[in-house]
Amino acid sequence: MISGTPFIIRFAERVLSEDHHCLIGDIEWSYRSMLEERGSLAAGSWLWYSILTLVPRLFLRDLIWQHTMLKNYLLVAIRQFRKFKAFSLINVFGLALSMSVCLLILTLVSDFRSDDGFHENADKIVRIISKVSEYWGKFEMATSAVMLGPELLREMDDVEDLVQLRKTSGKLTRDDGRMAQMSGLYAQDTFFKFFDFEFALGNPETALSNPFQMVISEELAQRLFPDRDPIGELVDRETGTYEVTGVLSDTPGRTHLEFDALFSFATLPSLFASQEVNPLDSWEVNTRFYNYLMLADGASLSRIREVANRMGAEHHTSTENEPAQYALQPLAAISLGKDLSNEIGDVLPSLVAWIMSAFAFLLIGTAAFNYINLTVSRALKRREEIGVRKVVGAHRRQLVQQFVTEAIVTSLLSLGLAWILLQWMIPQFNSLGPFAESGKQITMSSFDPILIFKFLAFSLLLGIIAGILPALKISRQSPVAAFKGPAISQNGVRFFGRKAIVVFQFGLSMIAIVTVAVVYQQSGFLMASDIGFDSEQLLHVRLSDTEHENFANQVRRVPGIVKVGALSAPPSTGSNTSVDIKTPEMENPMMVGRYAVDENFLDQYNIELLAGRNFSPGREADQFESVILTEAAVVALGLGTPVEAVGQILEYDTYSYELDVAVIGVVSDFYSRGYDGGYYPESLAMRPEMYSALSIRLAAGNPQPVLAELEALWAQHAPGLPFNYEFMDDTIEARLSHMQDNIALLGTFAFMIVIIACLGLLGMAMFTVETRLKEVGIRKTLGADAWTIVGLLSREYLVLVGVAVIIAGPLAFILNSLILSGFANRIELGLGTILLGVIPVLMLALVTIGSQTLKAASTNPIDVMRTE
Amino acid sequence: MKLLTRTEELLLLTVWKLRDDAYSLSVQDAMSDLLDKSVSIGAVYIPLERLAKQGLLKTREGEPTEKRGGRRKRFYELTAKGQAALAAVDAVQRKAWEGWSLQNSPTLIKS
Repeated sequence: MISGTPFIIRFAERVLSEDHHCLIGDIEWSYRSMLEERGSLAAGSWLWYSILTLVPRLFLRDLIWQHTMLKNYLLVAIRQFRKFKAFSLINVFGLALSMSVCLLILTLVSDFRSDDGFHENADKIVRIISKVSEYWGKFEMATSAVMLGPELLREMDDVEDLVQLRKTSGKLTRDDGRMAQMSGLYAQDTFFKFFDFEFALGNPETALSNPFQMVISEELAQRLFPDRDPIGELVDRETGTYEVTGVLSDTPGRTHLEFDALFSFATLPSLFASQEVNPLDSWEVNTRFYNYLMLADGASLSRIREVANRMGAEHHTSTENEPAQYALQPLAAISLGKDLSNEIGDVLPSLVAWIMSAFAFLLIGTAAFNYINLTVSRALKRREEIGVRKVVGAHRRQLVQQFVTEAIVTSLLSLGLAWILLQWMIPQFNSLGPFAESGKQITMSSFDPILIFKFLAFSLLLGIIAGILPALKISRQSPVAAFKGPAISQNGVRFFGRKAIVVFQFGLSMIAIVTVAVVYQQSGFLMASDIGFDSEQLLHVRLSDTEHENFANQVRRVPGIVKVGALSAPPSTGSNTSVDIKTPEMENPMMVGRYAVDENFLDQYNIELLAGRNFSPGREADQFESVILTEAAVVALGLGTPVEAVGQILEYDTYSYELDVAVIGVVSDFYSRGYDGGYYPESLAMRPEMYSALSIRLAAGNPQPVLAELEALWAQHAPGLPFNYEFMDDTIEARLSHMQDNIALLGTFAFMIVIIACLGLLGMAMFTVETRLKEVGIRKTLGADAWTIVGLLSREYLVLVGVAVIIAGPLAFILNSLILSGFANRIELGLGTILLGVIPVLMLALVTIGSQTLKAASTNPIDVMRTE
Repeated sequence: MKLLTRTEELLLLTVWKLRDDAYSLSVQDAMSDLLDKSVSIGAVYIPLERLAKQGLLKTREGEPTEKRGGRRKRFYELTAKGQAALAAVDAVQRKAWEGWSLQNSPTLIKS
C-alpha cells in the first residue's frame, strides 16, 4: 500500500482543473520515485517547488483562456468593490503600503546589483581582496599587494590581463592659476580594456600609456576648463605636471569606481624614485593598491587563489604577523557584497541587503495574511451568493477562480497605489543622509519595462497566493449551510496560527514605536546637552594647503574678528585621525584620537585647561615632543589624575613615525567625533603640517560684511579654488536634522507596521462578530446589556494584545538598550519610555476591536434571529 | 504558414521519436538529454498543451496506476498538421543551410 498523498498534491488537485490532472499524476509519480531514491527531504522540497511554481502559471493560463468567464469574474469583482467601498479601500491601502516598501527595497537592491553591469567583460573581471591580521584586529580589504598582480599575470594562464589602481586626491592647477579639487585613481592603460568608460575626447589606446598623462571626467573638465579644449593642456599638482590626454563622457551606468580623474600608473615609479623603500616593490603592504584580473576562458578561481596565497606566503618575511590571505571577488559582487576597508566607492553590505529584504518579505507576508483574514470574514456576508452559485451548478473550481480574480484585482489596484506612494518615497529616501552623501541615488526610470514586468508579476503572484486560501475555505461550504447562516466555525480561518500572527504583528508594532520614541528622546537629549566647547559665532574655513600663516595673519586684521586659530579638523565633525599611544606599563598600544592644533585652540573653543600648560609657539620642543590629552584619554591610558598625568612620557606612533612625547597638559573633554555624543580619548599636538582648517571667531553682530571681506582675501590667497566655510552652529544643526530625517523615516515604517497590525486585528474582529451574531442576539434577548457583549466579544483579542505586550516589552527594552549603548552620552531607558510606545498601540487595538464589537452589541436581535 | 519556434520544433520531434511512449515525463527526460541541461516539467507540459490546443498534437489517455495517485497518463501523438509543420521547418532549414560549412564560409570569425 502506498503512503498517503501529500497535502500539496491534494492542494494542486483542488485548484487546477480536471484537465491538468494527468500532470499532477506525473508529478506524483516522480515524487514517489524520488522518495525511494533520494529520501523525503529532497523529494519533498522538489515537490513543493514544482507545484508552487507551476500552479500560479497554469491557474493564470486557465483563467485567461476562458474569456467569457473571465469577463464575468471581473464584473462581479467590480460590483463587489462598489458594494463594499470602505472595506475594499482598507484592503487596497493595506496591501499598497507594504507593497511600496517592498518595491522600494527591491529597486534599491536591484540597483546595487546592476552596478558595473555595463562593462562588456564584467563577468570575466575579478578583484583580489586581502585579509590581514594585526595585533589590533583583523581587516578585510579591497586592496592587495602591488607585486601580486604582475606575478600572477606572468605565471598563470588563467589570468589574461591585469589592471592596477591606486587612490589619490588633491588639487589641480592649470597654467593660469585656476584650480579644482579632485579625487582620482592612478591606473594602467589596460583600464579601458577592463572597464567600458567612453571617451568624449582622446584615444583610449594611448591615453594612459606614458608617465604624467591624465584623463578627466566630463564634470571635472567643466570645472577646470569651462572655456577651452582640455586636450593637451598641462595641469600642475603636487606630484608634478600632467598632460590631459582624454575626457570621459558621463558614465553609462552605475559603477563602484568613483573618480574625477585618472592618472597614468607609469608616473608612479618616478614619484617613488627618491623614497628609500619603494612602495611599488612590496609584497607585504596590502593597503595601497588594487589588483583587478581579467580571467581567461576556463579559468579556475580556486587555482588562482591558491597560487596567490602561496606567492604571498613565500614572499612574507615579517615575523610580526601572518601573511595576508587573498581571495577573489567578482566585479558584480563588489557593489552589493562584503563590507571591506579601502573600498573605492560606496557599497551596500550584503548583510544590510539581506536584513532589508527580510523586513520587506515580513511586511508583505503579514499584509497578505491580513488580506486573507479580511476576505474570509467578508465572505461570510456573501454566503447567499455562493449558495446560489452552487445551486445553479457552479463548480467549486469556478468559485475559486472568482475569488482569486478578486484578489488579483485588489492586488493590481494596490500596485497602482503603491507605485504612486513609491514616487513620493524615492526622493525622500534619496535625501536621507547615507544616500545623499554617497551620491548613490535610487533611480527608477518609469519606463524600465523589466522592472514594470517584475512588479506586475510580483503583484499577480501575491494576488494568487492571498486569494487561493480564502477561496478554498469559502468554496467548501455546502449551499444548505450557506442559506442557513454563518456556519463556518471559529476554526474556519485558523490558517497557520492566526493568533500567533496577531501577537507577532502587535509585538512588532510596539517595538517599532518604542524604538522611535527612544531615538526621538535621545536626539532631543543630545541637542540639549553640553558639547564641551563653545560653538557660537564660530566659523571654519577649509584651507587649500598648509601654508596658512600668511592667510591667517591677513584674516586677523579684518575688523569684527575676535580670534583665529589653525587646526587639522573642526571638533565634532567626525573627521579626525588617530595615533597609537603606549605608556611604559602597557603591553599593547591604544588608539587615541588625534587633533593637530595651534596655541589658540583652547581659548578659541573655550576648553578648560585642567592641569599643566598650553602649547607655546616659541618652544621648539612643543612642536614635536609634547602632547596635550583630554581627561577621557588620561583615564583610558590609566595615567591617574590630570595633575599626575602631566610630565609623563608616552610612546607615540602615528603609523609613519614613532617617538616619545611628554604630556604637558590635560584639558576637559569635548565632543570630538561627531554629534552622536560622547567624550572620546583625544590627544592634541602642535603639528602645523597637518593644519587643514582655520577656526575664526566673529564678534557678535551681522556676519555678512565680515564674510564678504574673508572671501575677497581668499580669492587673493587661492585664486580659482572655492571658498569653503561653515558656521559651527550650522554644522551641528545639519547633523541634527540628519538625525531627524532618520527619525522621520523610522516613524514612517513604524506607522506602517501599526496600520498593518490594526488591519489584521480588524479582519479577525469582523470575523468573530459576524460568526457570533446569533449568539449575541440570543444573549440580548435574554437580557445581556451592550457592555457585557462588547466585553465578551473583545476578550479573546485583548488577551492576544496583552500577550504581545508581555513579549514585546522586554524585547523592546533589550533592543533599545543596545541602540543606546552606541551613544556615549545617553538617556536612561525607563518604564515610562516603554509605556509611551505600548499605550498608543493598545489604544489603537481597543478602537479597532471596539468598532466591530460595539456594532454587534447594538444590533437588533430580531434582525439576526428572524430566519430561525 | 507560420514557422514553429525552436522549442516547439524540438518538442514535436521528441514526441515523434518517442512514438508510443510520449508523455510529459518521458518528453522531459528526452529534452534534458537533447539539450544537455535539466528542463523543468512545466517547461515541457505548458508548450505541449499549447501544441495540442493548436491541433499539432493529439492526446490519448493511458491507464491510471497507484503510484500516480490513481491519475491517468496523457500521451501525445503527432497529427497530420503537426507533421506538416515539421516538414515546413525542415524544408526551410535545408534551404537556409544549403552549402554551408565551417571551412568554406567566406571569412573565418576569430573569437
